[in-house]
Parts: sequence; structure tokens; C-alpha cells
Amino acid sequence: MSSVALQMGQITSRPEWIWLALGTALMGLGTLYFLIRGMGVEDPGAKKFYAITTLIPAIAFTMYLSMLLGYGLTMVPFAGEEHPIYWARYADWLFTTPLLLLDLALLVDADQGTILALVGADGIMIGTGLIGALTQVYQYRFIWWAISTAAMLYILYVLFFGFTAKANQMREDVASTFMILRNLTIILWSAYPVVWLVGSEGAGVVPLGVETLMFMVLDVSAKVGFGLLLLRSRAIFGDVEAPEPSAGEGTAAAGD
Amino acid sequence: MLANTTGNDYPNSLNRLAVVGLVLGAAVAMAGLFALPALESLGFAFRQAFLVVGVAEFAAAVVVGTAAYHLYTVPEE
Repeated sequence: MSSVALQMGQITSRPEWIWLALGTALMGLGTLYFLIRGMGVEDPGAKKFYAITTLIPAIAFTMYLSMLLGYGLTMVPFAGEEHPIYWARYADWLFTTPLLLLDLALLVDADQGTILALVGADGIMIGTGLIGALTQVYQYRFIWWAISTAAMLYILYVLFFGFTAKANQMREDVASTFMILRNLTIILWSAYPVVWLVGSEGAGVVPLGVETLMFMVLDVSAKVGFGLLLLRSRAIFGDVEAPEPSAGEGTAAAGD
Repeated sequence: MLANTTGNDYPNSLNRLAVVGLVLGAAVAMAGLFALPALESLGFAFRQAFLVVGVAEFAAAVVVGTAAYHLYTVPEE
């Protein structure tokens, strides 16, 4: 009993624990919702999307739990001080971001060469971001950040131009769902390097608790929010089996 | 399009190897997030341990993505 209290005390001694706990809960709820929703799906094409999209918050749930329990944390010395760095984020992003891109690629029926290029750029984006987070020479951290951000800009460029051109040749519901998800991805993914820059990994303008909150909001939106929009859409179904369109679908894209 | 069913648990066109890949990939990805302290206790430095975890996570994503891509195969005529 006292050991449990001690462990709880260790968890709650970190001010950011509340955001990690909330992230764990939201990712867990998202995973459960996608699992339950996917049980009745028969369409093979839709099942692909359900398999990928359910695993994304499932792994993120594990990541938030590992950070909450203290597994995903290390101390990195730079700028004359030891700084807490949540390395588990990068391990999670190495898994989840290629799958988010695969969802978009499957939606617009992208060719395998483009998918491989995107996944490669994604590996560079997360890998160099991680090197930046672990680098002990303060100035070098921003060089790695710039390389990581450049890889991200390439990915967003492909989404905005290459994938959009493919989506415009597809069914209206597919095109409109893609546009919504594309815009969501571009906005949310663009915010990550900004949070990194102002957070404890970068300039340290905002404290770790605020940084954790911001990353949590971005993570939940980019994974659970993305999944909700994708899996509620008719676009993932073939022509035979399609549920009723979700509220607002189509109209949201009209304002695109 | 609905896959053909035979009364078994799986439709004819479900690629069981892909299902195994999905499950294994997910298991490796989840285990990887807790594996770093165990790797460090085996004598790995933090960066070496993270390299193992990072490569495992990325490889798991590739396996899961490939498995999902091939989750259903077109039945032969």
C-alpha cells in the first residue's frame, strides 16, 4: 500500500503528470471507440483504414502511459543544465506518423514509390528531431531542428500538391474527406516544430508543463481527431457498402 | 466490395500473414515503449538502447503499414 502511494507520489511530483494522464485517457478512449466502431465493418477496404487508424491511438496510449509512469523520460545536459526530455514521444512518432501518412496515401490511392518517399522523409523528420532533442551542444540542437523541419515541409508539400492532384480525380466524397484531413494535418504538423522550438527541447520559453499540454492537444487532435474524421466518412468504403454521411461532410469541404 | 465468406471465421480473401504482421508489429511497438530501461540494465548506453527502440518502432510501423496494405488479397478466379 505504501509502495503504491510512493509510486503515485513520484508520478504526481512532476507538474506535467496531469497532461500525461489526460493524454493517456483520451488516447485510450479513442482506441476503444475505433475498436468498437470497427467491429461491425465488413468492407475490406474500410477494414484497412480501421486497422491502421485504430493502431495509431493504441500506440500513442502506450506512449503516454510510459511517459506517465516515468519510463519515457531521460535527462539531457545542455546550456549548462540538466533538462528532462520525454524520449518516448519520438519512439511513438516513429511508429504513428508513417501510418497517418499511409492513411492519406491509401485514401488518394498513391503509388508505392510516393509512399516510400514519404515514409523515408518521415523517418528523417523524426530521427533528426530526436537527435536535436538529445544533442548536448546547444547551438547544434537548432541545426537538427532545421533539418527535421525541412523534411516536414517536403512531406507537407507532397500532401498539398501531389496528393491533392490525385484526390481531385477521385469521387467527390473521397476528395472532400482528403481535403479536410490534409488541412488538419498541415495545420497540426506545422505546430509541432514551433512547440519544440519554444519548449524545453529548444529555447525553453515555455515550461515543461505547458509544452506537455501543447504536445498532448496536438497529439490527440492529430491522431484521435484525424481518425474520427476519417472513419466517419463514406470515403473509406467501396461503392456497395456505405453508411449515411456524417453531419457536415461535404459542406466542410465546400469551404476549402 | 464485400469479401467472399465460406462459413469460416475469416473471409476467403483475408491475408492471414498480414494479420500476423499487424499483431506482431503492434506488439513490438507497444513493448518498445517500455523496453529502454531493460536494455540499459543489459549494459546498453542510453543512446544505443534508444537506437534499438527507435529502429524497432520504425520497423514495426513499416510492417504494420505493409500488412494493412495487403490485408486483403484479390481471390483468384
